[in-house]
Amino acid sequence: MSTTRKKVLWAFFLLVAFVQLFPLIWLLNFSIVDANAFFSSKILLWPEVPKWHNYVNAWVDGKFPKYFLNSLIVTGSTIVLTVVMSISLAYAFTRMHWKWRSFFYTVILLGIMIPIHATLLPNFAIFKALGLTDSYWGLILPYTAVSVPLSTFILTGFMRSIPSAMEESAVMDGASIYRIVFQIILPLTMPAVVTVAVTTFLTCWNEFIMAATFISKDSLKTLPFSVMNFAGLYSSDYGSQFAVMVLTSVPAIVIYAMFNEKITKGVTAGAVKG
Amino acid sequence: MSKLSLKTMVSALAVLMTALIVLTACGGKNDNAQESSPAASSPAASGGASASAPAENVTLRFFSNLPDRKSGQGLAEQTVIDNYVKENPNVKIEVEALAEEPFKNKLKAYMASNEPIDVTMVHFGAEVGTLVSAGWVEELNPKDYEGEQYNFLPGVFKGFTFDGKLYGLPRNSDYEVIYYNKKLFDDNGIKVPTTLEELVDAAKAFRAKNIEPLSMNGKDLWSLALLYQNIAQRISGDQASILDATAGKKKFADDPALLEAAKWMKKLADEKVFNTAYMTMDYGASQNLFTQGKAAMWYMGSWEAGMAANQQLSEEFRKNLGVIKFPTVAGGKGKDTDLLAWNGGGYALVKASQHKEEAKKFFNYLMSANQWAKVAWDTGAAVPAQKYTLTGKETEVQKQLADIQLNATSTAGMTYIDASSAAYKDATQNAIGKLVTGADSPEKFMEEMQAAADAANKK
Amino acid sequence: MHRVLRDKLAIAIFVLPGLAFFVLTFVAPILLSGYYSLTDTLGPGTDVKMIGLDNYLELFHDERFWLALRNALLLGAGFVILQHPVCIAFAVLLDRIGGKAEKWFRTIFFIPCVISVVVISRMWLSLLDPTFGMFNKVLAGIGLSSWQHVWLGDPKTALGSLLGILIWAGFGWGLLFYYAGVKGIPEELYEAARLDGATGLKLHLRITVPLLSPVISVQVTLAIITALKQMETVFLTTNGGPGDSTQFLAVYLYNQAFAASRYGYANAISILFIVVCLIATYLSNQFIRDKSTEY
Repeated sequence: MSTTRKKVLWAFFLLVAFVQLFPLIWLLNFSIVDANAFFSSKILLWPEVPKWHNYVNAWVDGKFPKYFLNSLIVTGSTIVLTVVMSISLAYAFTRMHWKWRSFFYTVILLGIMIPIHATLLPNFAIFKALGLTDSYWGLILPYTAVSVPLSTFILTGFMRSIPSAMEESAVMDGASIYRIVFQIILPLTMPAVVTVAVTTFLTCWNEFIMAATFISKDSLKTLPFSVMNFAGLYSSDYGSQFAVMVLTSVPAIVIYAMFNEKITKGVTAGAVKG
Repeated sequence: MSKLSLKTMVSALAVLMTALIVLTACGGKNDNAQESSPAASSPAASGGASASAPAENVTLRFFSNLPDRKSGQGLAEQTVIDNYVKENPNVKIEVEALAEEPFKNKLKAYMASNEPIDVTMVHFGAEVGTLVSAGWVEELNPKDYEGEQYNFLPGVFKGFTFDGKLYGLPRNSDYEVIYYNKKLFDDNGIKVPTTLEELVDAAKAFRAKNIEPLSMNGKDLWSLALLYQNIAQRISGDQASILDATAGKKKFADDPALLEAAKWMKKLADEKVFNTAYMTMDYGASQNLFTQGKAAMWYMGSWEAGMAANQQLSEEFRKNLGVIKFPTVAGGKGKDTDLLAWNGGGYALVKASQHKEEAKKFFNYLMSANQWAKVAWDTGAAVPAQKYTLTGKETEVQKQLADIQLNATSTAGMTYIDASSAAYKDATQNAIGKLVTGADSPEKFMEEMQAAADAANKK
Repeated sequence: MHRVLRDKLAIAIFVLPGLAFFVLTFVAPILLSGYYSLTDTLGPGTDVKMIGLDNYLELFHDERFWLALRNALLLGAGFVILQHPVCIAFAVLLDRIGGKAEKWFRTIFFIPCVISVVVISRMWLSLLDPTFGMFNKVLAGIGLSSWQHVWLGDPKTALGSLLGILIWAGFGWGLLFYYAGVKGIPEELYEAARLDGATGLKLHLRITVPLLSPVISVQVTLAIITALKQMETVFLTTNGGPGDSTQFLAVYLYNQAFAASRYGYANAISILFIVVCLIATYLSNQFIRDKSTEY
């Protein structure tokens, strides 16, 4: 590609990136603006006295540390459970030989299509009956259930592309099936596992409707719900509301920055085989 | 996904459907199982009652729709709770407070799962009605709440009474008024409206000055519905008409004022009387627009009396806050002293409570005239449903509100959206949304109202 | 094949937990929904009266239900017609730009995807607010005051605005998948096509699009499902309004169950909702498969 065309492309991409990120810049900007200054006609404004106190409100009254920890526990457990389950399922679906294989694969895949909101109401009653609401499990279990179908789909696609030579020699050596899956297959599927982990992270970290329905104890609530709650608490203070929104978004952006390359690699390795 | 074949999908579905049919067949059994579950919780409750040792520690669960515990009604509610805990050190009260709309949804979820809340906030009419038919709220004896200790105003139990039985107590006297910003009117030389026609003129004048006229939480829809009821009364002078039509005692078409009021609603929307983004504004957003001095008026209820005393709002705004009676309409039979009043919010005891005795004790304390009613009035948070005494320290807004209440020539007692089933409320609120956005004509709106009432009264 | 790979116990251990989860969170609730859909209950715990298929019969005449379905299809069409071609174009351009820029822009374009839907919804509500929102101020700033509008508050523009928000939020995902697909296309194929005289758009229509068709098929199916399943963003911005103009199945069913206390009816919506999702998936698979075999 010629350099002039590259420059034009650069400029174009810069413009698009700017337009795309501008709402977030605006959010960040107004999170340190006093509520009374919100209605000014300026698009962006640097307040004479930045109202850092908005972040104090968000941190203290938004109970950020507590909700953050809850989000971390729920999301972390969900990721581990999802990865273990999806790997097992994907292995059984791609490598093992059994009669109902394709049938159950289809059944699990139906989980991608079934809207979770359609099952929300009865789920609440079932979880209640099992005593699972108002505990971390009340979120970990449904989050895992929602994440497994898509994860299995991604991992199955990826596993099909891995040659089976290595496991075959392991099988010949008499290794147990569990060792094969978790010591040989797991490292080989690492790019896809990272993709699965990150998609699961993003879904769970940001999920709100189940968190709102299944959890009532304040000590168990997660970050997205706190944004909602905080909006009620500080309904007249947009600045503080924006601050809590910024705080909530930071962890996800940090995680993304850390795993950015790996996500792309994982998707690149798996996607073509759709 | 491209691996999906029709055959496997159909067979998977077939398995699901078979199981569904099997389950449906034994549906009768399910009913019994459901009914027995509330009963299962009662031994625990009676166990708590027999142990009357004073030092027994209990934690009560309190469910509220007031998330802001630092000002207004939330502060008043929290003050009473703190008072009680101070007097009863063995009791801890755990408050779960959600904003209005999430609160309503969560309440239904709690009802569905028979959650052992002890005391909950409830809205009158359809909402309590649903809770009653689910058997989630406790019946109260109205005799217990007569007399000096409670001092309830006459007729306030209406929205909490079903088949002659009482299921909750109201906390406020609610009535619709228009809050307005005196400074915005004075500075721009605009007359404070006393008729709807003047309201439209004032709106045009404000628009010309680039000020939003009347702030409206249109996204929530219920404020629009109340406005509609208010206008209909101003035209016909008849508080009962729309309630009768709702109850199926007459047709909506029998009262021409109802159609005319619908036309007025359309007109107010078309003349841009409401703030520009009213259909995306929830309660908080519409309030902000007004309290930030960006809108000249706010159509809201007496429970917002606390704005005048809210330190978080600018002093300039508080100083300029005024209240006016809802305008009359030229040629209409309604007077400006006819009040669209009801008792909407309240509290109820929950059947599934695990500490019935303690819950009731706290509930009675909360509803005592010297607790909620006094605290709410003295802090300027609300106009209670109980008799209150003027302390002389009231804000100007409180005095005006008290004045409006005391001089009322008639009251509605109910709002039509809450006077029937929840499904009726949903359908009629949706209808009003379509009316103001122009999706439905006023005539079509009347048909939708009639259809909603017919559906509700069929059952 | 080896005996180890037919080990029944191992298969059970691998499959059963996942399946148990599936039964607990999908099958059991659907069965329960199916049961409630045949009743007129206000909610579990209230009186249950079997009313047969009445709810379903009512549903077929319920304008709001069909409106919700139509909105979902419009949104899905919006994704397919607007978002995906743009994503593919960006994927190709990103591949061409190369070097550090490729990495940087790829990273930046994805950022909105990691933001929580609650934040996105509230942020856009504020952005599009006519009194203090940025959007109208920007329009005024670039001399387009006449374009200022109550984007989410007008029935005519609400659905379109919603589509805009969702494209903003989901653009990065589509881009990433297509980008991965583009990376998998061997350079020699382009060389060969160039020798045949294909350039620019023609080159991509001849090489890129057909070779991306497996990715496109999966992505388009997912886009349609996403449109059908749309809930949180709508719920948190317009809640189906104004005047049902952004009503979606999941929002409608949630509000019927909770706000209107029509639990039985809401469950009938759930069941039809699931059926619609499955049919849509099947149709889109079939359609795309037919299309892609043409190449």
